[in-house]
Amino acid sequence: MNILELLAGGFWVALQPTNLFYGLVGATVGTAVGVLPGLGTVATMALLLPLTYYLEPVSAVIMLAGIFYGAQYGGSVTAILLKIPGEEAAITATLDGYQLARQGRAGPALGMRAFASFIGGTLAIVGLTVAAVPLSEMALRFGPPEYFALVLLGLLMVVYLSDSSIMKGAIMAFLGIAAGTVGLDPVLGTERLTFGMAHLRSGLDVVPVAMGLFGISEIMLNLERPEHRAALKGAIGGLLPSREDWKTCWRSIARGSLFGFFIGILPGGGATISSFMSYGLEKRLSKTPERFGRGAMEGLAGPESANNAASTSSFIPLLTLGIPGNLSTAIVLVALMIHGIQPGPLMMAQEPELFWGVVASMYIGNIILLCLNLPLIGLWVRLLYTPYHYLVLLIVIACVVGAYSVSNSTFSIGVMLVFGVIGYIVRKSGFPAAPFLLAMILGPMLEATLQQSLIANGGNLLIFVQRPISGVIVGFGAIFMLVPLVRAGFRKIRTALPDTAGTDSRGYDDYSK
Amino acid sequence: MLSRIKTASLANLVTVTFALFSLFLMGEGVALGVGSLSVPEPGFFLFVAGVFLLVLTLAQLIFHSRVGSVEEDVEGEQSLPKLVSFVVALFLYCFILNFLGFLASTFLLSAAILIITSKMRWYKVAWISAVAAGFSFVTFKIMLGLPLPSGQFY
Repeated sequence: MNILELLAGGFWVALQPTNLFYGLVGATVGTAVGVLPGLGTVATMALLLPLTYYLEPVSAVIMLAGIFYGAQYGGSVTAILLKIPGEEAAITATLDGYQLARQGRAGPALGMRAFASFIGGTLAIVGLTVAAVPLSEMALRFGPPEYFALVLLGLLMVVYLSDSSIMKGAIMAFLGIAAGTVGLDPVLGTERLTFGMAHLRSGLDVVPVAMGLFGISEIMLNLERPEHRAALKGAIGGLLPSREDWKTCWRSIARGSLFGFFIGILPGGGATISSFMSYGLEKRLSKTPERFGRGAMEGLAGPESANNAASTSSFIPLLTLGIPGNLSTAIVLVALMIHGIQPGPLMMAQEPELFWGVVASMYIGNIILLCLNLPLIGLWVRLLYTPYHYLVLLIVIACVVGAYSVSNSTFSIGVMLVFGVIGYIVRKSGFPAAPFLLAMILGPMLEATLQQSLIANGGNLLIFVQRPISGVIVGFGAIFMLVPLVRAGFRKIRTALPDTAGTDSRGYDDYSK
Repeated sequence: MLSRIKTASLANLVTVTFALFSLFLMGEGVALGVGSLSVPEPGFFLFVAGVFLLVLTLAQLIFHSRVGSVEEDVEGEQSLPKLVSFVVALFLYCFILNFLGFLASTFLLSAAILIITSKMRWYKVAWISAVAAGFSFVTFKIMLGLPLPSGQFY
């Protein structure tokens, strides 16, 4: 069967009323999550994960995927109207989007955001459709060393791109790896780090840990900050961008979509990094870079298309290799594993309905999101003014119900609370929580592939660089880790030289230090 | 007192805790058996993770710890009672959930959260909590059929 036939089968699955309904639920919840500051995508996906136990796998993934890319759509509403990014990836929208709103162009800015997101997302799905088959075929040649190298690269990239220092990110990743070992050893069945608790024998559940780290700790951090939502005065006005807007933005949207697609495929690459890189690229390519930050429509359109393209293409490593590149796709991996499905190169052959159903649902989801985001923008804006204590109530009840239903015991609520407090303390100390959770999810895979590789090759560590594919991946990771060290070394040498100290490479005084 | 601790000191304290935890991991790894590269035993991965964690935490303490005056976290200090009350409310919820049941415990938890996070009058707190508990009971237990505890009062 060719791709079009497979995709047609996927549309048949995605257009089933149940799947359509869960797609709509996911897109709506995702947009709401994106709009509301203080409720993150990962926490929401983790929150709804227990509900997916009762759904068909395809419906579960369609809903979770809808939340993920829906949040990218919604995240920039608050960024444009209030200068508060609903999602990390929407930070760039605060730069020009908010300025446009202040200039009375909130409507066209919101409209352009929705169209750019739609175009970026849709182009990335086309890319996903085309790239899925060859990538899966290539992945069939992967053995444990290649998988070990890929998982390691994913973790390295998450650490490298985390919003904190690399060192702190790496510390959190190793703590996550340790948390992933809780339970029975996969080979001999020896208990590890269970402290004699029967509940821990099957390992730490991802759901309460994610809810604690991203839901409860977020509430605790928000309780410290006074509620501050400066509403933008005046009507939003017409949402359709002008012909002039389209003329200035179409190239940015095309570039952003392409750029976001490739960044999203990389392990660790995702919506946030792609939107920042796209913003930088647009500013560099612009003939009038001074307009950026003062209301340049292309400064909004490029990153918006990039972050949606990246969210979609980040499903490629998960669906074709079985390795999640970021936390949101890691939650999808957990949902699939709950249903006994192992994503990877064989998934396309073993579960074609699921694979192509999810891909087709993304096309439909993008159309749903466009419909939700244009005519219903007033509703989302009103949602912004929900008092925070009502949101806290909603989040806490959903968290306790979600945590309880993982094991039908209050133990999971306790785990959630413990990780909530830990999350609060570490985030307050500047340690990022994302590498911890991703490492906890990927840790068992890392351990299994490391052990298999070592046992099969008589303990030869060089196997990871001797095999061509894993060698390239390890080399790529090493370059990523070494480049900042080399640059820091050069910077130190340069400042140590007396005649060039305090001047930058162009000879100007550097007052930024 | 968490919020009284200066931000940089808190980061150092957390790093030291992680360093101690890395020693614990190494100890656990050795106790479980490390084995060799060709025949790794259950403690191998724990031990390796512990070693890397120790190196990283020590590097963090040596190269990145900041000593000196850092502004007090004023907002954090003011909100400490709120934070403690929030954690205690959730902690107590774990204990009463099975005994009182989902409906009654969630009513009490909702009331506690509203008291902690808002300045509502008691009757408003009571009816909003009742609505929140009732709505979540209907949604999760009746409509979605989640096996939530019934306890003494549903």
